[in-house]
Amino acid sequence: MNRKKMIKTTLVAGLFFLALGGWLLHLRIHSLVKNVDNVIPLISGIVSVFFLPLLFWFRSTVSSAYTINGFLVIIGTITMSHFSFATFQDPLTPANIILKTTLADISILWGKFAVGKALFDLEFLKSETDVAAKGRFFRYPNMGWWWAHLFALATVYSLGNIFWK
Amino acid sequence: MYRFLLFKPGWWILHIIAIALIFWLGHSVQF
Repeated sequence: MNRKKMIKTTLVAGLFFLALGGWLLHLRIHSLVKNVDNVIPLISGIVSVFFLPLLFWFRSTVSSAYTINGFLVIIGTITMSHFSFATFQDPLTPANIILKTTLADISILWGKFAVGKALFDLEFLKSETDVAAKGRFFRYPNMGWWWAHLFALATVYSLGNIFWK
Repeated sequence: MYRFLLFKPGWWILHIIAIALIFWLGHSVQF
């Protein structure tokens, strides 16, 4: 096994365990029996745990895996932030914001994003002076593209939530 | 997918479907 393959195996395992941990935490909170809407986190979890590690494994599907992983992270971030905004009742102190919101869960998600990005970069990034360094920060697959999509999805989601009751 | 997005109507089709889906998601998730 060469060095690249060893790193790839470790990262795919990391992605699998992060996704599994997040999914099991979800299953504990979002029982399908209680609410059928919980099918969204259930499906996201199944995709993350069983399909993404496979898609990241093959070079031909790494781009798709990177994109799907990123959008699942963005959707999770938006919905869990929404949950915290909607249900937060404690006094607004820094300690409460850090410990009593979904910040911990969102952090796990962005860890999963980082592992996915490392797998993508391992496959395609040729050197540090590649696309990101050429002023193409807001183009795929650079981080600016993800920030723009996080902002855009959050805006559309908020509009749907506010104006379509 | 990459080829589909390079084809300009493909980019628009994907974005219109995605916006509709996210708008619906915002509507359907109520806490």
